[in-house]
Amino acid sequence: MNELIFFINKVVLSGAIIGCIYALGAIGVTLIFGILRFAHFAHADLMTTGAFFALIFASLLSGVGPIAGLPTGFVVLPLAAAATALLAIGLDRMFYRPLRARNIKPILLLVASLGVTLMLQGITRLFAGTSIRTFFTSEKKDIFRIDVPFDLATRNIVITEPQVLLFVTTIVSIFCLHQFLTRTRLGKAMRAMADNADLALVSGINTDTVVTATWIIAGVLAAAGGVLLALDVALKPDLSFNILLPIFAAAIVGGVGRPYGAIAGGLLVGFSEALAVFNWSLLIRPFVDFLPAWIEIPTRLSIVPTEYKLIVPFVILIAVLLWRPTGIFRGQIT
Amino acid sequence: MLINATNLVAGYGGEPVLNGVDIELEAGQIGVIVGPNGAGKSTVLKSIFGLIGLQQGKVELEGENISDVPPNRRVGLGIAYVPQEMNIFQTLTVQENLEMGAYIRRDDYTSAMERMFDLFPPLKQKRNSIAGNLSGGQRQMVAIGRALMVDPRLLLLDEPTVGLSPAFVHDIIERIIAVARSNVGVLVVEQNARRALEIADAGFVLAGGRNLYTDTGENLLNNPAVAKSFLGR
Repeated sequence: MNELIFFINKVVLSGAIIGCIYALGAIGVTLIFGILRFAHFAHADLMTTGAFFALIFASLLSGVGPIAGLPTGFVVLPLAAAATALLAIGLDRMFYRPLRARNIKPILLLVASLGVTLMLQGITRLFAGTSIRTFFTSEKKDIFRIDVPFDLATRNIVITEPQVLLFVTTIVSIFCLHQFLTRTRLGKAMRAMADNADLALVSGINTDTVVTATWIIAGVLAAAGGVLLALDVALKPDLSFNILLPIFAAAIVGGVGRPYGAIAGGLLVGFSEALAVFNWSLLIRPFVDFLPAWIEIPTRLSIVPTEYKLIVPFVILIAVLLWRPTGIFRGQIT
Repeated sequence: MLINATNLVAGYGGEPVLNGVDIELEAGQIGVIVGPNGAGKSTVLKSIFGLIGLQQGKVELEGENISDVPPNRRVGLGIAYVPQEMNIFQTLTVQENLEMGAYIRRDDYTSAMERMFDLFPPLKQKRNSIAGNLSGGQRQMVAIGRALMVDPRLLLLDEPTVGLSPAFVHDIIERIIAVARSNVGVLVVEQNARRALEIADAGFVLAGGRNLYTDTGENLLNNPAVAKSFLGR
């Protein structure tokens, strides 16, 4: 029984947590690709910048968290999201739009976004240094230990408050995004433009408005992902750059340009990582009596050592692309 | 005169495809553009809609020069365009396709949508189906329906019957006549020249980016030179 609880903590919850973070990033990546046709490499650092915005707001408004009964970093998330959305629009106006206006190839936008990512990294390090920061200097991170009502279970299912908030935020975000994309005029126009940009123009859709809306959504979700990741672990300048590759893997696996695919891809990559680094010997140990004596169970029996976790998204990426080259949700081919 | 395009010279960079084409059409008329491959038929539609810039010539809509108006604003002026390929939003439903056609409309367009379902009855049951899953003929109905949602004064159709089975070709042509009867000018590029000229009030035979013959559809059908070169036999 304890082994099962260990499995839930280490695989089900861990996978869902990192999967939600990947999904929040990958939705933005996939929307930007669908509308603007380029891989936005600065997206991970947009997430980190969003987390730093939240840190600034949290230090300015340090009293609001205890009043609301929630971590201050989470309470200021709407402010950080608004700031990140403005930053995203600003980056587009300053760097990407002038390039688009010259009808350049999308690959050049990708290179420009690499430049933007280095710039964002430089700016955050310039102002915040390279040290690891936390939102929980004066506040306490609540940890919930859920008792499992079985006699044999002595361990608890452990989940922290930021993790609960992450699940809630992700579900609410996905619900709102779904409503926006299927119910509103602008949301439908966004899907139409991702589907067929030429026909959207021919229909009289104002493509500038759609582009701005795309950056707002991508920026808000990036901030949510960055802040919640920083609340779960800690805030450091390379917080999200480290997960850039899994985010892109999630977007591609789900089918580029497909927001629901990005969610599925994010969770798939997250759970796969958790399963791959899980120490399976713990699950096998209870059954050791049933195994022949000559089988020796090593203390460490994971598919991939934790340090090499980053190869998991690539294996999934290759496997899915071999099986279904346009992704699970049949995305747009580049 | 609904549309008056004079001396159109346009291309895609390099040598112009159009070397001085004239197109005139009254409201409620069907104009048909025919000619061999590479004559510039589709390019005429694109330049009237503003998708490619004019090197010379001008486009007038009811006497007003619109040569410098960008295409998304020409929709608002009452010109709707159906491209030959990729002319529907494949991942959107039929109804969403029509809604996107009405994107620039800020008024209530439910009656326009009901009219589309009357004009294309098969679409009514399929209104919540994904447009990309429809048959070729139904897709073409979605494409034309999307364009008609703005209640245009001028409808530009690029090869609306290409690749359709004969029954659907007949269907689409009947609908084009119905649209023109509602006082919309329809300018059609057609590969199926004989069938198209039968319904044409005005016919334009292009070759090498120039008007070769311009006359009523009936006269062009009876013109032996046109029949010999462009209609086969």
